Amino acid sequence: MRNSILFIFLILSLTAVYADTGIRVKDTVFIPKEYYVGDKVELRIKLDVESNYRLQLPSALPSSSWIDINSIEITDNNKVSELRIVFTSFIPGTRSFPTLFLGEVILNSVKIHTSSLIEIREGGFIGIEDQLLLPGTKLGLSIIVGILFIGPILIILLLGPFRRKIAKVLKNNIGRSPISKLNKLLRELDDQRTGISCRRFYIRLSAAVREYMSKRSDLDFITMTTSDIEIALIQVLGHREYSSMLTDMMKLSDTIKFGKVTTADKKKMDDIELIKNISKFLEEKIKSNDKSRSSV
Amino acid sequence: MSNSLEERVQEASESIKLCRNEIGKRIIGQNSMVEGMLMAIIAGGHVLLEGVPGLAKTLAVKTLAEVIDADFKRVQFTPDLLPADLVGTLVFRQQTGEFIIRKGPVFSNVILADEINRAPAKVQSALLEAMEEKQVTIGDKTHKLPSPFFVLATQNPKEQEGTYPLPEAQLDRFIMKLLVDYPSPEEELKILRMMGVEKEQKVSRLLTPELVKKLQKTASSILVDKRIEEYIVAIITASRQKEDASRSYTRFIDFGASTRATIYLYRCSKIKALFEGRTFVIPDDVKSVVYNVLRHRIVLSYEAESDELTADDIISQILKVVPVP
Repeated sequence: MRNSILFIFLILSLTAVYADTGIRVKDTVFIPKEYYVGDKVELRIKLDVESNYRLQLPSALPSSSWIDINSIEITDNNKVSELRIVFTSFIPGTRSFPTLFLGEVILNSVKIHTSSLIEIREGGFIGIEDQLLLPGTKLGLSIIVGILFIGPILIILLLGPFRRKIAKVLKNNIGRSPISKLNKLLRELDDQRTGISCRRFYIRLSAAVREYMSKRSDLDFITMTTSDIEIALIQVLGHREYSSMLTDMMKLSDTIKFGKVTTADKKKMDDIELIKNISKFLEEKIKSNDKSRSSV
Repeated sequence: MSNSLEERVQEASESIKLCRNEIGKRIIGQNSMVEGMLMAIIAGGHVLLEGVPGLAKTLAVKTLAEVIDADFKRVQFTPDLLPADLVGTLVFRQQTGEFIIRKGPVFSNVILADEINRAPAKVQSALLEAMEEKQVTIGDKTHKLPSPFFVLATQNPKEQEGTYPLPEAQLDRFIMKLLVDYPSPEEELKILRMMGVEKEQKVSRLLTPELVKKLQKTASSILVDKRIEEYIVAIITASRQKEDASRSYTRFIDFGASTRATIYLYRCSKIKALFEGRTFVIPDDVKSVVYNVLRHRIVLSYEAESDELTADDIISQILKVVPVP
């Protein structure tokens, strides 16, 4: 609305200025109609020139700090001349075009209005503006971000087998606590005690102890040999007798695993019981440590 | 068969214990060095000893040679030493008008190559060729070296000026590189009391070449489970991994251990089990010999050197990522 009023005002002012100079402005066209700072614009002014006046191109293009005049052309057609001025404005707002000397005719006080992309506020310094986005960009970005975040969730929800697999992995690894995992394995081993070989039994048992101890302490029992475990157990359990008993069990499992030695069924039961007791002791120790830490 | 192996292992273990005690009459402490040397002899390999002067490296080798009941020669490596000084040469005999072979010190059962890095490359090369081939060529004739044939080379990690460091390919021929460290204060006190007055401590010749062969045979019968074999290979391949972000040590290694390292780690693990009086190898055996077998075979990167990391530091990091069976 504001731009339309300004446009009408410009037309009227041009008509008023040149009414008494032997020429009459018939029509004014800006291409494009609305332009911004830095845009290249063509201004076409149709002039009705009296017969005793002649239009001539200026010897040099007028210059100014706020505007670049790129070219000026004059076309004549049955008393109606057209002036084509290509320019680029660098300051927003309404300003007077530099004076044009067109032979016997002087064209001055031509008003042009350069629009601004940013809102012009009055008074005080204008703060730093946000990065300008093309209309519709924000919506596009929102859609892309939405797809990126919601897309994978939708895929997981839609793909049944994959969803079930993830649920299984989560159930087996994250959902279950180290002690419940160990107890489950001990129950399995107890059931299969007579069914599997002695070697297989102790491979699974020692691996379960290593995994449980690694998860319940800061030490990596998976990469420890029995001698390393012997030292680490004293630190983790803080119970000399249990440490010694578990070390003996690990030594026995080394003998069975690598020395092709077997052991009695009773020994297997005793070892399962020993690990149950030690894990129970460790869980209680961790709980009491947590409690005393939180009370401090 | 199992009982027989157990008996043989117990017998071998006793023999080794006796040898260690015999060496212990002259060498106080340095258990790791003495064990490493005995291990190398049973494994049929050669040893590189590294330590500052005055830590009884030469005395240990001389004592070992005496205990082995074998021919022993010591060669002091110097910059002016020639290959012929080591392997021998052809000498012209005027009376008969013919060339006769004059065999060098390399024709012995036990050779002490003292300060091996002080001799130029051609001399080192001549010795290392003898170590690998167990034969030398003088003139146009090839001569077999006596059996057993062991080279125990020493080098000083300090005073590197004017030395010829052994290249990686030649270092790889040593089954072990043993680091000789200072004795503990208690051991130092024992040494002072024993060596304070100059007297020669006699040692008995317990380890005959026949016994060495018997120990070698027993060691080869030691059981190695499939899972232990896989553990050995996992350690070696872990040392060869390149630019693995999940394994931070990989940036400190330029070249990993060779296949020869795999073989020697396997052999030494078996001998370690024999030393412990066991008929089978356990992961502890592998872990206890891995430093001696790998430390001279892992080529460290510039980054490791700038961080002042040693091969032993890197081996520790490797062991921390390989699961134990």
